Amino acid sequence: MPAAPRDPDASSARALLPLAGASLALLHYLLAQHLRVAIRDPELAVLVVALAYFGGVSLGYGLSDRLAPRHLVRLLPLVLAGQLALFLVAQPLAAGIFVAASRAGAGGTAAGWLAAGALGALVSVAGTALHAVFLPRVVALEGCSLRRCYALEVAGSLGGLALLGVLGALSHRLVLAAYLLGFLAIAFLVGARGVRLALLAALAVGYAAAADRLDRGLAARFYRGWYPDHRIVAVEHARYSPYHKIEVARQADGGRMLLLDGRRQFVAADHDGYSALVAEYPARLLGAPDVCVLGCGSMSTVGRIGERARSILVVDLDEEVFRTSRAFFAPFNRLGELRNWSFHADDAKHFLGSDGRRFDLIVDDIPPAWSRQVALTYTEQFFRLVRARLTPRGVFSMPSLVGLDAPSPYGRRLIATLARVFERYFVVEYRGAAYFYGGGPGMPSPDEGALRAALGEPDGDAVRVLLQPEVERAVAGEPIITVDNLADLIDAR
Amino acid sequence: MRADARRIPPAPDARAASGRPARTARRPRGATALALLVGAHLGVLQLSYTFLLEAHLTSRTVSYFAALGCWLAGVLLGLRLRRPALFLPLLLAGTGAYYLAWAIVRARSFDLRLLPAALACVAASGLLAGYFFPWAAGRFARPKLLFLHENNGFLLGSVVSLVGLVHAGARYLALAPAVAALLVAAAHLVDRPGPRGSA
Repeated sequence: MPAAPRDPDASSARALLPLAGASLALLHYLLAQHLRVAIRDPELAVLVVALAYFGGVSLGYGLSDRLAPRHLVRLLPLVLAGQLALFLVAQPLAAGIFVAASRAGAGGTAAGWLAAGALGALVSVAGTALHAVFLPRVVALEGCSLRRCYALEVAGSLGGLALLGVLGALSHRLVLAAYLLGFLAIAFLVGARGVRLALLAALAVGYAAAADRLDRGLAARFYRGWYPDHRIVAVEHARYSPYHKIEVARQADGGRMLLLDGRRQFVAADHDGYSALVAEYPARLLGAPDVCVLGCGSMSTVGRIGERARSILVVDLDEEVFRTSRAFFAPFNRLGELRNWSFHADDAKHFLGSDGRRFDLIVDDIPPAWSRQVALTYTEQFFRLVRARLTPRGVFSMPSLVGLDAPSPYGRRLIATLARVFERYFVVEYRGAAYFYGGGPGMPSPDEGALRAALGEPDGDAVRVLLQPEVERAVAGEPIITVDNLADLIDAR
Repeated sequence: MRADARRIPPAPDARAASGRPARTARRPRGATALALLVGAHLGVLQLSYTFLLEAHLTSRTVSYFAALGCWLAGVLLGLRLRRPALFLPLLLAGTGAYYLAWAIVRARSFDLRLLPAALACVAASGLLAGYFFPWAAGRFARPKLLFLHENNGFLLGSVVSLVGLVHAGARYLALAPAVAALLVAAAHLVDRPGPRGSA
């Protein structure tokens, strides 16, 4: 028996819902990636993305019965242009607002919130609101049950999520292309035709084709202003992984800078002091150790200890960072010439909690605790996992880029937490940073003279060595960082 | 009306076509509060699951996407439930499922064999999110208000959770979902349902 004829309007209206659901899932992912780079405080970025995304959805629901159809169609090119502009200029825009607010007398925190708030408002208006308009409208149509309509939208979100799982792992561009295709399909279903549809298609295709070049050009321009001392000439490589935006910038002197989510992660000038203290010095102390490096970055630490270590295992959540560093920072990590290294893609907590191997030296090269996710690797619980993976003579080496005497309590809180877990330890301060070395009762612990000799600084005051009692005094009274008070570290920067 | 605009779903009622806000019909007492609190509870629950998996199993995106997918699958299943008296049982089951996940991943942290069990709990918690909308539709004159209040609640729950998790972490995971569920149960008790709906 043939199916009863369906109301064509209701039918095409219902086809909007899965598309809107999928588009919301894809847009959330894209916005999270772009805002993470633009808002330089990752924890604030997470908060702003949540507020802007769901705020936009509420705005869309609120406007759902107030927007006349012709207005909705007219708004489409503006909305798409707004979204694409947001993807491209979020970083310089947020920085511009931040600088302007700072010059106008706002404190750093207030200026940061102002920049993030402005971006969030733009996301709400130009981002998610459009896709949220449809559900209440379609439900209100005669013959469209809420149950069915909502199921269609949720099924669309599930489809979008599945697409993200596949496309997100392959390329950011594919996610963007899928989103733009979805947008064009929505525009068609809501009635955009002729010149307006052609304009939308041209905007989408033009952006997809030029996005990479435009993005790198704008980023280079931004970094030139943001990091003037590093004399950035161009961004050679930019790629989004599900975890980071990874960029390699070329400097005027031919050197390269690695940036993760728009933040400087490595420049050649860091190589000597940082890598020597965090990796080479403890490796020398131990002889030929089995080493585990948590977090890879440029992997300059691997290059620094290559011949001194029996084996080196690099563990990092983001395989794309590993690939980029292998390709662009080979002179520092020397992965091409060394044969004693391996890479394991995993997050440090899960790796340490599930892998039974023990190491003579564990080097912590994870970025500073600016976000909740990273701060979980700065807790007492995490350091106990590290401690359990050390051999009896093993050493855990961890830098704090904020020294013990700094006005910020960040370094003191971190070292206080480490001191709670490790029976033996000492700290070396060099150029404002503190380097912690801790272990069990079998850990080699040279006296200050031997330490200075090993560091090549027998007399100078560039290096300050703090033995266990001095460290205890320096960090006395500071809170121990646990899963219960991550804010005490994140907010202490 | 121009031909190219005809495919747009029309505004739900004639008043809206004028571009002026339609007046809200009288709602049963507590319906708005209930929608807001259910949204907040679901926001707290979803963020708590995310942090729970992140802190005790793995931070890899695959577990995040899997949890979100299972939540949405739970929502779809919840939309299929039609018996009218399931609100409180699903609230209880969803919250209970969260605490089951909480207990098992803490007992054997970083054991990824527990992920399927945890994901099943996530799906069970998502049931209420699906069941709630058709169940509550009859309490609201216009569907947009139901979606709007629930979404505002979800936003509130998400923001409170994002702040609460960095300030109270494990304590938040242990207490917040139960407190949110109790608030929803209390709002449900004081809610005076109107004609049930016909979603």
